[in-house]
Amino acid sequence: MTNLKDLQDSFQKALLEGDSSILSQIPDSQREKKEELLGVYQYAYGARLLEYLQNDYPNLHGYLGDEQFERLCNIYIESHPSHTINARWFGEQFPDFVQETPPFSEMAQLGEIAALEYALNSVFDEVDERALSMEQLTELPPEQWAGLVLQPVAAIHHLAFTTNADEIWQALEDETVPPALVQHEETAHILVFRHDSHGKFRPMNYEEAMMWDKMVMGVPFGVLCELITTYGGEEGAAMRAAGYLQGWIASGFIAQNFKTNENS
Amino acid sequence: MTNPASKPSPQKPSPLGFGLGLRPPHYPEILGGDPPIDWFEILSENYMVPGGQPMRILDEINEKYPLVMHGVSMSIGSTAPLDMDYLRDLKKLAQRVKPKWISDHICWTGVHGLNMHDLLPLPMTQEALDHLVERIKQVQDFLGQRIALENASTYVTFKDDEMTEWDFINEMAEQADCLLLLDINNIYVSAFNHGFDPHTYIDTINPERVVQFHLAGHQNNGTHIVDTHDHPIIKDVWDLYGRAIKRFGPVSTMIERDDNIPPLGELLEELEMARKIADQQGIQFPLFEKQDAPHMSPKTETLS
Repeated sequence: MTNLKDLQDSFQKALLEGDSSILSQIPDSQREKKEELLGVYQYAYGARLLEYLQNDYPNLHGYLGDEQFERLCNIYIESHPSHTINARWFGEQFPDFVQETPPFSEMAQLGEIAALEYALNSVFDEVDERALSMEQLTELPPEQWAGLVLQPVAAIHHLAFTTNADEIWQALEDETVPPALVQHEETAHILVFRHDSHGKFRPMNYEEAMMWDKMVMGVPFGVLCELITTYGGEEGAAMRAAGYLQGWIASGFIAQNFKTNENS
Repeated sequence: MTNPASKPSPQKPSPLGFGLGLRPPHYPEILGGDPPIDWFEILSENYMVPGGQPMRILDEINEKYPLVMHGVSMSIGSTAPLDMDYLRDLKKLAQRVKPKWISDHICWTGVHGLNMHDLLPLPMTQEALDHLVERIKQVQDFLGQRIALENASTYVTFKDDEMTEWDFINEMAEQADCLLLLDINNIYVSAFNHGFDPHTYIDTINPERVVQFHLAGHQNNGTHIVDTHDHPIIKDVWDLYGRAIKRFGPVSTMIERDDNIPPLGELLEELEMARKIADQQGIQFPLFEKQDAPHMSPKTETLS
């Protein structure tokens, strides 16, 4: 008698590698050969994982078409057996995989569309946090503003694109013809966030993106203002910095719990 | 085998009536109206996420309806160690939802840290039974409550099988002191695939352990049936349900559609059919305790 552990090892190998040794443990049924019956599980394994990727990356699917998308997914499924108990995270590494796997990696917009779809899915069910309000901030003594250290809420992602992947994604979402590919001369910045329970995104200019990244890194507000002066010019720098901050707070992008660095 | 009647009856949760599997396309109608649904079963993994809309809606529905939690990832029959991270998350969700019970499947889903995302078959052997019983006890100790386990549809059997599925399940439930969720469709599917009589299955399972029925559709491929849960329920499965509810009495019954999700109205028609069959069998459900559930109309509370 085959012990349970060996039987499960063999069964799993049949699904992952097409190994047929488990067939010696399985009888034919009254109506069907054992190969066909095991095949139900083997087919379901690939089909189910493909379905997860189709659900998570619908517009990349639409952009590539069935044949190329399934080709891409099948390589991913073969090289990334699922370690997650929750199907929700099976496609977590898919954007990086698309960006790194030839020939798909040669079309930068593919990985960027995937990254956008992943970010939109992520913010959808990210943790709920209280956002900082302007009233809270105005209660802060003026001398503490320079040392203000802010953190974003969890349901937000900054993406840097080399193409107009965001426009292509939007056209596919709207079921219109996607625009021609544009390779940007300078990196385009996209902020993906949750609004009214759904994932949304908007562009950021270079200065706002720089300030956002430094803020995420824990750089105090006073230093952020100095950096803006360096990058975008002294004139109106404080107003610009305050404008970005006000916009983020009004959009609920900043977490309620902030710190003030006394040494700044 | 243990005689099911030889041990004292376990304390079973009260029956809830007629419910549905909670699916996102139906959220607006459920929250915006008052459909005649007595309770919902949630897929635990769908709500084992950090937050956002799924958790907000879950809380809203939980205020209106009794809920039970149904998982697919416990892998209770696997020879891999129990996934304690998963069980911790499950317990955390249960503390939030306070479900009437928690269920999963009699199956395994992977070994060596991998997940096949499928309900894989166990051999009906003493070794598998002993292994399963030990693991169920561990899970129940950890969760602090009995769990219900569901019979999965299977497509293969094993040459080393030593007992029937119904004897295996009765023994499992008795030895582990767990509850049972009987999927009537899965009994039909496995009976067709393996050539046994589904009536024998229904007639042999210990009624004292059964807290819930699933009803679903499938895809018949001629030589075998695939449990797709994406079709309407067929007449043979309805007939089997009639036999089951007659034997098991008022057991919480629900329609489980996992794919090809139809409009809510279509599932309500199936639910009405289940009510009608229970009624024809003379089965009455006791009044449910939750007084603040607005959907609990007298019509659905008591079947006469």
